[in-house]
Amino acid sequence: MSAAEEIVTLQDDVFGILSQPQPAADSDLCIILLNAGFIHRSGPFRLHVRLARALAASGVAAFRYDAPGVGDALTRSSETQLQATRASLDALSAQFGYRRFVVGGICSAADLGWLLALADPRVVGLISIDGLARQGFWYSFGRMRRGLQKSPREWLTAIRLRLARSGASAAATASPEDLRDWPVRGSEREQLHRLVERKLEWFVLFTAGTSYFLHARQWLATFGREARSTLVEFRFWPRCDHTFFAESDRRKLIDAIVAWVGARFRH
Amino acid sequence: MTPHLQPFWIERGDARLLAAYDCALEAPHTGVLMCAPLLHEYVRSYRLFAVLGRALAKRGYGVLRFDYQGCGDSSGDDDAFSLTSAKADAAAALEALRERAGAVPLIVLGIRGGSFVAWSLAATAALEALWLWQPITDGASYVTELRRHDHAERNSRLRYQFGTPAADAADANTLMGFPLAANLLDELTAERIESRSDISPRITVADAEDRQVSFAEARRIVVPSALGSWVEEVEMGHFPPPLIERMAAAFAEEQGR
Repeated sequence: MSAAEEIVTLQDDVFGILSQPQPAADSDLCIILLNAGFIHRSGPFRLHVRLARALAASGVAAFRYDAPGVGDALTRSSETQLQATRASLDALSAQFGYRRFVVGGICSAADLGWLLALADPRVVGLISIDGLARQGFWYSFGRMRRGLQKSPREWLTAIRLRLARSGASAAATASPEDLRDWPVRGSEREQLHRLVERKLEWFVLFTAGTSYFLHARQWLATFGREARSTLVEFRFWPRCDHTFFAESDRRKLIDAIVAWVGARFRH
Repeated sequence: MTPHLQPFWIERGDARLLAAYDCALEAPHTGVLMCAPLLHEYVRSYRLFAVLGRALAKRGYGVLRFDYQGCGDSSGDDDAFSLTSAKADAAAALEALRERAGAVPLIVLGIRGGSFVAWSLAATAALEALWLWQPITDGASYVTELRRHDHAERNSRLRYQFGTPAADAADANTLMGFPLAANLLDELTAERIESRSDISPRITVADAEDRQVSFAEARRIVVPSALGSWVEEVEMGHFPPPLIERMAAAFAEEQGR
């Protein structure tokens, strides 16, 4: 099976690329790759292009596009990101008949995917890469472990940076929770409960390229026992960075997601 | 006058290139083809040049941006990209621009490493002007700089908090995160832009204030640091739209618009 691609216009100045299996597959499932921060639809180091083509070649359609205010979506929208993304699902449903969606991506894409999954029952799967996790004991433990791996020279650099930052603005010292679109602390367990009840499949991956996730046990500490659900596939890749700079890491990620989609959504 | 972005495919042999045409008018007064920068710089600056295209479209230009083969949303794996294929892609894109914009003067804007592509096009196509944005003029020095930057990223403790990843064969022939065609570095190393008599269009160079323009008789536009410092960065940042509008005005003024 190979992939065929077409341009899909969602609204004025908002378009995306739909990668479809060739020959066409009889499936109502589409994977939506959301923008990773300000990176346009092709993704960091072209990750989304390759992932979408690999998914299509495996028999599942994938769509990548720019949300208003990112990449080619030049006109800023009065809609929220959540509203705009739901409208995109509506457009794809109307034009191509997709009824089920897997959404997500890296960082802010994982955050938006979480909100979308909670708001829209058509979302049957979620891909979260460096998404929500609270700090706490295991974070501190991971930080200590990381510190022990540092050379004396790295310690000196770290101390110099800390001293330089001591007079920095509040923005420079903001925590991940201040910067990310995360639910109110404590509400994530109840939200996960709702998603598990809805049978949402969840691919969760953390790299150590973020400042806030340094130990695998932060995951359970954040979401509690429901994080052990068979619907949840959790991975921690501490030797991988946040944007998958290394080609070997990108290949590993693409293989992992294609395998997950194949295992969880094969009908 | 409201500009409208029209995405479409350019077919070139087996290659299929994604293009986006931004225009406010049925008949723009001038067509502008943007030749994108290379590797990570393409991703890092994508928004800047999308917004610059829109700012020019508001001033009556028809602006075409496109992805080279093996880049962005165009067909081909990453290692399908070479300077040879990029030059052929740009020639096909200029033809596509001509079809859309009509019989109007054409300008090519080369950005960073895309200046090699634009320079090559300017030697063969009838252009009104060649615009260069923070151009790379010496391919060999550029490759050296990219290798230095690549080494720093691979060994960055900010990127890899638990140490650099184990050596993997998949990472051997990559640069700044991208797998390379076998001949790309040789091609880049051989490129050099110098004042030459076979480049006939008027040249305007947009660059940082402290950079020397190396072309005789080139006109000059200063790029503010907020729009120029991205060349040193991999991580994404913000480009202030009012400054981009000012750059569009400066280019238009250079053209007498």
